[in-house]
Amino acid sequence: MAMKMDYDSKGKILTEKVELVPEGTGLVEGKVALITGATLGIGLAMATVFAQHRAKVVITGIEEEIGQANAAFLNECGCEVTYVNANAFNRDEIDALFDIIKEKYGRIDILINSAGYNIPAHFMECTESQFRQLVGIHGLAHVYTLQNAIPMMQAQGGGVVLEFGSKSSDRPGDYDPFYCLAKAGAKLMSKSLNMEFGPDNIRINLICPGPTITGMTQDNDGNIVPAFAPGGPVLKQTSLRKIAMPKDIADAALIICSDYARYIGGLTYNVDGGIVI
Amino acid sequence: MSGRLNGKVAIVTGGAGPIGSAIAKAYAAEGAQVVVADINAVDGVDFVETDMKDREQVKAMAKAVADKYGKIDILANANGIYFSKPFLECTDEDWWNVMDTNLLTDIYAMWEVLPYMIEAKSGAVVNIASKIGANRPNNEAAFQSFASGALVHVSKCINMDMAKEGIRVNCISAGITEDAIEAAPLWKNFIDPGVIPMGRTMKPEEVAGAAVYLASDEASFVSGALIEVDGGWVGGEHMTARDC
Repeated sequence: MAMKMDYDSKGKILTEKVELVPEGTGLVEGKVALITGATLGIGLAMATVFAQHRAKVVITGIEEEIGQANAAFLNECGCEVTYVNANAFNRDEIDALFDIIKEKYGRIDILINSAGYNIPAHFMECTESQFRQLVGIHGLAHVYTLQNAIPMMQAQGGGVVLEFGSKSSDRPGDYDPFYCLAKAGAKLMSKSLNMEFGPDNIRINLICPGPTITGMTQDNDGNIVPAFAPGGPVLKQTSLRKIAMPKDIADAALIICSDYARYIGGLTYNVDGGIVI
Repeated sequence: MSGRLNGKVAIVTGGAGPIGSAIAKAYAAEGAQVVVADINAVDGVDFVETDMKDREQVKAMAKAVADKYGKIDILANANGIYFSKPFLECTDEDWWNVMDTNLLTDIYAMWEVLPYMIEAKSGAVVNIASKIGANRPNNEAAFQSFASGALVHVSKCINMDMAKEGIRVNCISAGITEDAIEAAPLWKNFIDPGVIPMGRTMKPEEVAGAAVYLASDEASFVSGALIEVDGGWVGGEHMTARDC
């Protein structure tokens, strides 16, 4: 069953025009924000929302054509968005990405580590390769951006990090135990990092999206996979009984990265339609 | 009480370490036939030299135990290192060292032992995680926290598949011991009644009681659980080891 959305399953923005909020009212106005995994899905939705709220947004991802196209489209609408091709799990590419950010802006105010994917398999069918991939992309890959961003934030007197967990950080799953493993690890790591860098005025929080229409929940034809369809098992976990659009997650991310959340650190921010653990 | 594990065959991985050997002793005292698997030799017990980071060795160890005793009832995993280091100094090598030693070892053990338990439609797995990460985060412990948190949660996930096979999978969160402080001196600052109300380190044998319970039939309806053996940890005024 295909559903209408603002982005297609390949990440192309379908909206005709994106409006910026009036000058002086942006919730992240003037902030330099890096969002990884932002050529598609929730990452792209966050890039759009943050750009609408007048942040200077840098997006990365490995889908060069889509990344460039979306950045160009947003810039035509009056946003400030730069796409840089970088594989989140490649240290050299991430270091090079930060060289570009340092040269272009000289600072980074907001880091959002949203790049990632799932490799579902029941535990006894899982492989070591899957373990290393998932622990890598949801853990070690974040270390690369954090080890670049945190010294910059320390030097500039503070910053905001939004780590990506999942409803799977708290809710166990039999069909994707290694994804759950990685997202639970990410949760504890984000809390530890907040303890370590909070004294530097760096707030590190974790957003845990619930079921969302993205490439992870759709098949190649853009249909939602049965498990996530209305009436299906995953939506039954949500009190609101519906699946999220990427913008539902992005809007929540905006609040927690803005000054409205200036006293919030080490948070596990469940944006999941009210999933009961 | 005694004989709570009479007739059971138990593998304790990492059984040469302080916590593992305490568990092995306690299981034996309760009547279990215990086999210790560790890279370091242990005298006086049935021991299979095993590098728990080598899946083939883990597989061979499990087969050796099953061949010798005909079954495997209990698997207790007490593998892991304590790792405390400023985050900005941590390396890729540190990451995989922690993940491979604290997490993948237990995963290998479960992959290789669970088939025997599935065939018997019966078994108990007890995974020992560090309090740091399960569920207490800490500064200079990002990697440790990731691994401990991950172990507890994946154990809950595995419980979803295994409970219906008659296999219970549980975790223990082990508090701060003297060895932990030796490996991570920053953690000595936790030994304060404001953080740990008992105001002392944990003796390794204090984990054994929980390990026996979770392995025994007394815990017949307990799966996916976490028992915290942590001296009553609350955090208190001394929020982080840095602040103490």
